[in-house]
Amino acid sequence: MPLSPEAFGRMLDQTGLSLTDAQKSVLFDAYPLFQAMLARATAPLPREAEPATVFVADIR
Amino acid sequence: MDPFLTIAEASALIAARKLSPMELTRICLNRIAAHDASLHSFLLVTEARALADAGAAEARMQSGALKGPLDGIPIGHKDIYSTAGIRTTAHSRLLEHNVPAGDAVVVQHWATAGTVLMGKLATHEFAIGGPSFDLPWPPARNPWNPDHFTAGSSSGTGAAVAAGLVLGGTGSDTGGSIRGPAALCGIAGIKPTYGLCSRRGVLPLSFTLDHTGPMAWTVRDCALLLQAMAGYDAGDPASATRPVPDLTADIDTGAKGLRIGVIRHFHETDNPVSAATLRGIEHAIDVFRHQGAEIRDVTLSPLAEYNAPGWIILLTEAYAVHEPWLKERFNDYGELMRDRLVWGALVRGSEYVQALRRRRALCEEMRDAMADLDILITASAVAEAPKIHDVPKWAMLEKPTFTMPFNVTGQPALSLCCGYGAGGLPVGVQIIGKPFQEATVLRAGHAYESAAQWRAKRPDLVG
Repeated sequence: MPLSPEAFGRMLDQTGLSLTDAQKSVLFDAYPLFQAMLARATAPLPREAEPATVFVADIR
Repeated sequence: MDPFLTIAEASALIAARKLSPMELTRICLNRIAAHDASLHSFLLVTEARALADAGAAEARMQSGALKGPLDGIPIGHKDIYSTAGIRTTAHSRLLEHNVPAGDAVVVQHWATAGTVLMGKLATHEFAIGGPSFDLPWPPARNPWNPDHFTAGSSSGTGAAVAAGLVLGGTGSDTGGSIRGPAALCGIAGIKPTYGLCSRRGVLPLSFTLDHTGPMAWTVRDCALLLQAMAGYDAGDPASATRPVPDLTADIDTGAKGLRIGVIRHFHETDNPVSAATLRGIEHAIDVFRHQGAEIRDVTLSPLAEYNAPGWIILLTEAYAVHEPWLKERFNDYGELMRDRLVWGALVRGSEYVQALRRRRALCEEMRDAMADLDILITASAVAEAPKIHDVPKWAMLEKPTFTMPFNVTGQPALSLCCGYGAGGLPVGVQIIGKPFQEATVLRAGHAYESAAQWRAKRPDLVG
């Protein structure tokens, strides 16, 4: 079910940022594009798939 | 004297005492005075510093103590590179009066090599928000047609190099910010391997995707600049400890024997390029084949599969950098910058980690695909530069770029001119190498550039 403008506004409020209604509206219009990208980036992977990070215990 | 010398040409003349660094610097200062009011490539011209640097280089020339090929060469730094005692703004109201105490490491490297600092160059705000018209300074304009976009974020460097206001400059590249302006401004620019060049003292956008690198008129000039830029920095946690090879030793050996993969689906189906760009890519392939390279097509995951984790990682890391200011001074940012960064606030922790896991899988795919190849080829940008007022606000969400995949994988990638479009503006081809194989990338780029002769033409504005 698509997100309503009101629900989107509440989601933005939870970030702690102070956006006007006009600013929220601009972002709401582009939200489907962002959602599509996020879904593509977070598609399921095998449980054992490691992230592309390297932890160096001995910090230089 | 040719008014548009390359670094290599100017360096040879200086070494032979046929060109004075002071004379060369004055030519560039005069060109800035004549053209930058319409190009807006400089945020700050450091004339006194430039003349002092040029005077010192001239003294070294007179005494036979030149430091090397960059001694006396006029350059500029993108305004996210810290410069001691010289305003460094990131093209943002938030840092409008910021004067760093020290130089970025690569700024020090180029100063040590004897370069002449002409000033600080325009950028998209904090290397992501642009082209913006609501900042304290206007955006840079494309010298091939000032109504058109330079691409970003190293917009000032692209414009200034193309117009001959400097002979080279620094860029930074988190998703294509060196290669995009290089393509649209018709110059060369290389994003080196992640870890080859220090990022210390350069304002961060995304820690795991940020790269520093050079931009210049030719590939050979990029090699000279990169040679002086690269090297281990104990103060940069991502810095690679390996020694830097001689990047020009084999640059003239041509493409014979190179094994080249063409990622045709990136620029033909995933995000189809213009006819002029496709013609330029095919021309490069023909040149390489004629020189004795082995060419074959390569299939990778779709371009969008590389872009999605790249942008999610970028936006999340950038939000982490800017969150305190976004909460306190949201409206002091330009509209493009603040709106783009808000998406980073909406990414959950698990989603960021998922994007990093996807990134690793893509790195492995790329490594396997290049196992029996030396370089890859695809487009740098989809077409010639659009009009500056026609750049979509959400371009990054709408169409995948050709540059982001190699920020995701961290491997070296070069953009260079491969012709001109119907509107007379340049188009670019991208050459990608294996990690830390910059010398091979530069060799291939120079082989094509030397054969193609696109370098004979400068923008009419300054020609």
